[in-house]
Amino acid sequence: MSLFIDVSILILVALMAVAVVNTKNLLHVVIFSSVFSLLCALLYLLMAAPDVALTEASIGACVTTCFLLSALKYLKDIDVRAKIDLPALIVCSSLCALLCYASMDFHGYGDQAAITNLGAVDYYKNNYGKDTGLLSIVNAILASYRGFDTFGETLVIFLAGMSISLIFETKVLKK
Amino acid sequence: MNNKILITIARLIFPCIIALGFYIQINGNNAPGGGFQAGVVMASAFILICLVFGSNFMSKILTVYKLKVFAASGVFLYGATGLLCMLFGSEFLNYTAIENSFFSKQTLGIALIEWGVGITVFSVFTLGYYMFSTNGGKEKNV
Repeated sequence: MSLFIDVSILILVALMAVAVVNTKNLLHVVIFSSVFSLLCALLYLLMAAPDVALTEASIGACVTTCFLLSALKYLKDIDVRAKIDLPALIVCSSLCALLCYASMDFHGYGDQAAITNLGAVDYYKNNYGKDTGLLSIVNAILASYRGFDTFGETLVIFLAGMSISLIFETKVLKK
Repeated sequence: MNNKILITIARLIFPCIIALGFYIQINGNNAPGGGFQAGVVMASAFILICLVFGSNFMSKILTVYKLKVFAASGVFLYGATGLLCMLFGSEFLNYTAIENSFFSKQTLGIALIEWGVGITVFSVFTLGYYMFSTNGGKEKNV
């Protein structure tokens, strides 16, 4: 049953990706990419990653869509459908084949011997409750073990907001 | 805007989104979620207000200046928590230094920095959407 759900969601994701490329109207592109994000969030939830799913659903499906919709106001009705270009098609399909070939080297889902699951992960898994007193291992790693990184990320978000307001509030200099 | 259905639904759903945001924020130590997610959820509530009632109404509740101050104070809260740990004689961001009888181990420090992250993310996303939709406050009636 779970395999059936996984496969059907993956097929829907692929269909949405094709639909994004194949639509004429920019508004439809925005809506299709929103649905794409929502399906991805569902996929993350099925992979037992509720934190990532929450972020993807709120950022990808909600906030990004609103941003893009407000940006659409400044664009005229243009045909955005991709035209088939033979050299580009060859390059893209060979890249796709390369990526498929490279994906054969991937470790299986949840493989304990994968390179990302070695090293510090064991320490985190065994000690996070004792060290931090939290029940959520994700927050224990993000806020405590990787506190400096999260500080940097917060600073980056702050600077991004300031840059947006700087760009929009600056008056255009006249000659 | 005078669409009754939109306005009624927005009024119904706005407190629910804010409550969900607070829940994610406060419960972040023990459940999925945390500062970033809570900030985005709360920002989406204000984006809803912006969409339904227009930017004019939005600029009455939250001005750009206030949002900038919030964004800076979130980063400040994060850094100040780190400095507080140093004040209690430990390393920067070593939350074990500020444990007390109510908050065991690092829970107080982590809750504080999550609030910092949440406030910053909330104000930056609201500010960004407000700037995008009004073209930097130049077009008021959108």
